Amino acid sequence: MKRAILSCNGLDKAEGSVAREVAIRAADATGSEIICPVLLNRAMARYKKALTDSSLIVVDGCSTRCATKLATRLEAKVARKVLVSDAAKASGQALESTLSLGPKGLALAQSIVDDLVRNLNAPMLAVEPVADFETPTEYLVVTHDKFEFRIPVVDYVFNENDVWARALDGVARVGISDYMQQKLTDISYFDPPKVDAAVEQFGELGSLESAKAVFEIIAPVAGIVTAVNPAVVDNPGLINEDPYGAGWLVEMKLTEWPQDQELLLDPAAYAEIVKRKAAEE
Amino acid sequence: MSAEITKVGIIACSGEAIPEGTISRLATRRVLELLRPNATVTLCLPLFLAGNEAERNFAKTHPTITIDGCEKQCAKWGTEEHSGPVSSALVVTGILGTRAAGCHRSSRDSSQPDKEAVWTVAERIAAEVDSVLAESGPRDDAAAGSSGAQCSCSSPTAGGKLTIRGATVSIPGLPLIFELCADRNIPADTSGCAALLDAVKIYHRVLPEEEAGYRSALLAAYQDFRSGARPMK
Amino acid sequence: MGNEPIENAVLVIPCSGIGKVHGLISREATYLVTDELAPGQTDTLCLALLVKGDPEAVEAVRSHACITIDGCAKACAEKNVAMAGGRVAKAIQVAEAFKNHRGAKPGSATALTDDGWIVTREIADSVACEAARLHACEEVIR
Repeated sequence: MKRAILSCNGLDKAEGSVAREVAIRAADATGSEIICPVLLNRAMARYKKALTDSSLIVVDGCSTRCATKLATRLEAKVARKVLVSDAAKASGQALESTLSLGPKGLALAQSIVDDLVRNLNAPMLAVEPVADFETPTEYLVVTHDKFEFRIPVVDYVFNENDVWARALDGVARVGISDYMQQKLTDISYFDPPKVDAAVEQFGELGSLESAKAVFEIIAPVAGIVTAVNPAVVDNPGLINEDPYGAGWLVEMKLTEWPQDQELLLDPAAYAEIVKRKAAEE
Repeated sequence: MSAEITKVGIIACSGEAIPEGTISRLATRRVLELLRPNATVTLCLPLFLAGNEAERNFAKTHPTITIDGCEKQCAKWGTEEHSGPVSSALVVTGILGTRAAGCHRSSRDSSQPDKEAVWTVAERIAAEVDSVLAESGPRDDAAAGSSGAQCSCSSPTAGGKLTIRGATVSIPGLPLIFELCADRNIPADTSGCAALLDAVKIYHRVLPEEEAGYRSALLAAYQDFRSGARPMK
Repeated sequence: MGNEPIENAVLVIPCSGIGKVHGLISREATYLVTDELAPGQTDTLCLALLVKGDPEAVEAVRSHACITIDGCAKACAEKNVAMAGGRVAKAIQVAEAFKNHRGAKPGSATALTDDGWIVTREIADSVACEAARLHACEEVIR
């Protein structure tokens, strides 16, 4: 399989230097083509073949994720992502503060490359959601003091843990309700479940984190995870902006749908739950 | 306006340039979290001015008090511009006069004058809330909900739960009451019991026959608080 | 800022949203910059005064480079400075800064914890650097 590596161009942080080193070493180790982000931005045609024919690995230095954003903007299909700042935290080692790589930076770069090479053939991030869901247009509104919580009236079902599901042709799309996204406020992390994971109804489907709380996502349905919303992984704020549309979290192939429905709430019933919860807070 | 008014909106200017803006903000938070948690909702002035419909609609349908740092009265102006007349317009410089002279903008520099200023303004706002609600008719405490504060998006301030003669009693804002007592150097021993009880009675009703039970439970909880543990929630 | 900002100052304008800890962080980061990290080079002004259309505030944002610090994506400070005709040289969102502080518990809209102050200082350092850059490039005054 052909591979290409796109790294960020971070010149003002040590993490950017590590990202560049990762790209160079990974290209050597895997025979991949390196894509220059500056040239890609200016003249995408130069890399058209690489983007079309290769499996793309994106390496970012920090959470600004410039390389990922560039790839997304150009609608490139990303197979694997690396975030150096996360890898540095996980290693427990602080990087040197200089832009020239020191022993710690070089060691981190190598460790990231080793991990990449080891997992080259692991299942890829499923970036193509299967189902074709339309954005809801009609809502119930639950009002409490100055707060308004919207609940779509058609096709959505909920569990009492403020997670919704929408089923279509054997696939369910899952997300959190408007009430929960307002309660959490600005969501800064989404820890998704693994693609291909089998999850029972009311099992764990990853978590969300904001400055206020960590929220365990409780699966409203049983199934196999088939897709994780890559837009939300990159920008968890989408969940706050559009919790029922672009802020969806996960898609699942349904395995026990008829039975699952018996324990789920329709919009009107969920609205009563929201009223009660809002009044109790 | 709603026929049954149970909540009052408070909009603080939060002016950044002068300490009085900080006082307006902190005093509003004090009212929301401690003094009148069941009766108030804060509205975020930047959101309000930026066009947030939820904030503006609340101010249209509920009595609203503005608290401005200075005589420019930006919060009052904004509310009247976008939602309608305010029920009461307070100004920190008017309430404090020269007492704001030793105050600071940042909480890093907070000192006793800052704390006293915030309490003074907060109590003034609370009195206005009572007055506005009294004019609006009888309150329905059940409709007002539980003892949680209502704010733009923050969690309700935890109250404290005490066990008094076998019964669990919830006192909204108890940690904040304890902070105030600690600020005023009320001792965490039997000599401080009376002052502790007096402080709690400002914010929480205690019947005469209950006072003995409250004294001992409050003292134990206050001792935990002062030693670094926290009151039971 | 009393009536007019410090001459040649970069204006740092927070949203000061009262409902979330992010608003408090925006405000305290501003004070760290104006009072400690870059005094004399930076100043602030009341966002509400600007939105009200106070002539001095409007003139200030039009004639000085501005850095806005917003609590969230609603970007009240950035939008209002831009609407008043001000030049936003850099727009910061506190919510974005939390992406580098996984697990942090920053406090409430009333008071910051140690975690909250760490995020605040990081933002303030970034703003102070940008203010220094604007001064170095003589981009402060239009």
